[in-house]
Amino acid sequence: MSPADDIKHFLVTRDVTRGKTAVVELGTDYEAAQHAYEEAEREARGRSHLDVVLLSADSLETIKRTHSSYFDPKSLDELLPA
Amino acid sequence: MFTKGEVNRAGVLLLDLRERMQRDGAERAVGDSDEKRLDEAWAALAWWRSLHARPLSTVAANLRYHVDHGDARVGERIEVTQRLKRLDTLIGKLARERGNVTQMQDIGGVRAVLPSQRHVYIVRRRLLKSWVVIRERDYITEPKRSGYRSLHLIVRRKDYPIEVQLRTIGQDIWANTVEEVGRRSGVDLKFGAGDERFHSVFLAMAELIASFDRAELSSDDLREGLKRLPSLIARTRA
Repeated sequence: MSPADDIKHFLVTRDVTRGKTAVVELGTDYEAAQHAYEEAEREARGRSHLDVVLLSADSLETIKRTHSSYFDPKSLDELLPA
Repeated sequence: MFTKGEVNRAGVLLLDLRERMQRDGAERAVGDSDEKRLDEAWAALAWWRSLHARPLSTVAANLRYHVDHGDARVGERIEVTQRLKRLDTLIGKLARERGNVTQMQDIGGVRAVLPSQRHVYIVRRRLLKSWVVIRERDYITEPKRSGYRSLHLIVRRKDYPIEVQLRTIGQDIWANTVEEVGRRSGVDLKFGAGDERFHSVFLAMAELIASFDRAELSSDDLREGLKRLPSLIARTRA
């Protein structure tokens, strides 16, 4: 079983208007990551073009796959087996 | 520390603010409110959410184990991500469903992307054997009206519900595409709002992917089908 402390936390902010995503890697401390999340949400309050979320996985690559809508989505063509 | 009653009242207060912002504009709505009470309400919701973090991590670690041992990796990768619900989204859900914050079952959520429909049910079987599952929604057998397909389980861990989503690669791409298009167009397509034209195209896309997931279509056939979608949009417009 992969232990939970191998899991990295990423603060992902999608600027919907500009179509850009900023990712901050917050390391493996979930509590500290949640503080950063709350702070970022507070700052984004009332700014509806900013979509902030805390996502956690073994790598950013996994997050880009499971939550591709926050990134520049790959087309189905690129992901399907050949 | 807050009581459940305080958490639920915080949800009502922030929902009321959201509705006033939509009606009267952000500046006036926030200006009319007691800022200290709003901050405290926000803190109550963040606190309630934080209680889900540890159970969520345990469920996610366990899910990674079952994906690995159920041979449900995508290539070599175990594609499992956990997320704590955004407070904005949480309040949005309260607006749609009018429930209590403390009864919400998806504040902690974990998603696995799996190679095929067969793998979804292999992992499901493993999870049902080892977890306390309090609810199951099989949107693969019974898709949502939007065309959404995925298998959802609500499991209970240390008194907190955690939502687990199991999806195929195609179902995941479909859902992320709908979400991104919805976000760009400012319409909640996921919840059935928006233009009929979008729905017809996404429904057609979902059907094609479902046939592929049931192994009734080859990946070449799926590619061909998806290429024809633009003409389907044109036909829907006509």
